[in-house]
Amino acid sequence: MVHSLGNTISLVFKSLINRRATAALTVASIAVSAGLLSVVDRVRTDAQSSFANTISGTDLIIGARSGDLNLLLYSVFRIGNPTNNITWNSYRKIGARPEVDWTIPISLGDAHRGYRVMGTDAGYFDHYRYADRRALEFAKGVPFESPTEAVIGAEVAARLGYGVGRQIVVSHGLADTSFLTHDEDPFTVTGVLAPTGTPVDRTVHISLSGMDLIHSGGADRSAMQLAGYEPGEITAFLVGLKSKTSIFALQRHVNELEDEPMTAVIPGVALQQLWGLIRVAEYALFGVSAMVVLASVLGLLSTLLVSLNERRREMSVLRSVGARPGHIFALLLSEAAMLAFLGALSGLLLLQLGILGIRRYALSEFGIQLSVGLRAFDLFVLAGILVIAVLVSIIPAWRAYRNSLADGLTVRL
Amino acid sequence: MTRLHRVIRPWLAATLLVSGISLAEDARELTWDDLIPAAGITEQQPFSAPVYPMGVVQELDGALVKIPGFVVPLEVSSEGKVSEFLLVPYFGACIHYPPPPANQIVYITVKDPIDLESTWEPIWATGKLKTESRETDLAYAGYTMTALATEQYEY
Repeated sequence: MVHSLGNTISLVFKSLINRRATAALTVASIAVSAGLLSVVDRVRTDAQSSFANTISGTDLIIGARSGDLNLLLYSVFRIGNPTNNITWNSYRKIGARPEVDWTIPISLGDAHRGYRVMGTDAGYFDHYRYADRRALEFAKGVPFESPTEAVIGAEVAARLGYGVGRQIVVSHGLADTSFLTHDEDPFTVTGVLAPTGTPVDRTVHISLSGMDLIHSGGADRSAMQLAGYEPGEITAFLVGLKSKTSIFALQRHVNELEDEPMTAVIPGVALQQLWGLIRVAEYALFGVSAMVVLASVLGLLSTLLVSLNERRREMSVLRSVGARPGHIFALLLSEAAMLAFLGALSGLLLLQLGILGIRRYALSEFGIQLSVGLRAFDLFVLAGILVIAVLVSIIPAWRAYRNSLADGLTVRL
Repeated sequence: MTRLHRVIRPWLAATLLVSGISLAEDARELTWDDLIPAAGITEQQPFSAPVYPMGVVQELDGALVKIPGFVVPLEVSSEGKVSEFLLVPYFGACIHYPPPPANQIVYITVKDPIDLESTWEPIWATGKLKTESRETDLAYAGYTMTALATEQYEY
């Protein structure tokens, strides 16, 4: 009767269908816990790779005096706001030092329909590197050549439907809608960058002179030149060195400069600090979701235990058609395993749907590129929940075994 | 994925150790003083920075060496692993101490990025040392290495 595995499974399945309400609830609670455990790991690894991919090949980031993390976050990830600007003079002095290979000035503070506008110079397109030293590429068009030209990131182009030649208006401040728009100074899009999966995709790049132009009220546009233009101040700048071994010396020099309080950070070191912070949150979330898994498995246990009494008749029917007490034991174990497997699997699959749903939002709001698809950790979650569920269900299985021995073929309820 | 790695890590380290044995036997174990030309530290007073001669030891160019130090990450891969870093004799980001001179820094690239639990843990790096002699200014002359193996430093 229940001699083969296939038989056992179909029997368990039919028995579960008979108790579908409680079975479905048990599956649902396991699904939630599996999804939760998986999403915690996924968000952390995806956040980590999104951040790590954003900056590469830059030796130092220099900005107004603040914390290492703060400087890294606002200058490169466009998270948070700059503490202060630094003078063009300091930028030029450091850029002229013999150990410096290249510098990229960054000027922030304006926005175009929710996307940040960044003032920089042509060096940005030559020297900026992301994700293992990949250079920026133009999908269409060329870098800006005059103060009233702009280069937009891939997402800006896709979301707003912009192409080369389009006129755009930049507004002051960072909000989606600002009433202080610089209407009188439209910029012309000259280039669209290829997608990078970094904040570059969500940035409108203009020249430093263009940046000053929108703040000077557009007084004399003709007088503005791109080449050799010197703004009063910039927000931060990226530095590439000729030799990596001079990083510490320059960092110390900048941090101790008496002309202007500035901070120089090594991107890798600041990222490592960020991982440290993320790790604390991750451990806390991981602990909580592990507890949720435990709770859902305990729920499974209690459902099985409660069902034992009302299923005494079912067991004795099985016994009467030839099932041995050992079969009853195996039946209970496979029931727990099936519930756990269905729960964990549906949880992981539903999670993929959920990620598809919030992907866009996570990218535009937090700059985190969430990935879809099962990974090794998900299999680990699936197997883990399965093993725990089977181990825990030994208790009801043992009780069912004892009951079936005591009850024999007839039950007196 | 990474959680799994964390579990596997001791094993990985053990296999690295085994595969690194033949390498470690050939590699010359260096101290940081060996990287300073001539006599080493010329003068040192309590609570003041030691004064080092600048420049590199040319004889070390191409030598297979094993050197202990702290990691200052430069390039972080998407999995949060470190593929390029500076190896320094003491924890480099400490602001109470002057930065190490160029000849007390080894710029290291690793083929298999390393997983760093924290930047406070020292490591052993084994590989061929190269001196950077192209540098015109003596103050910036330092060492580079493509590490063949890295392992955790045991005190």
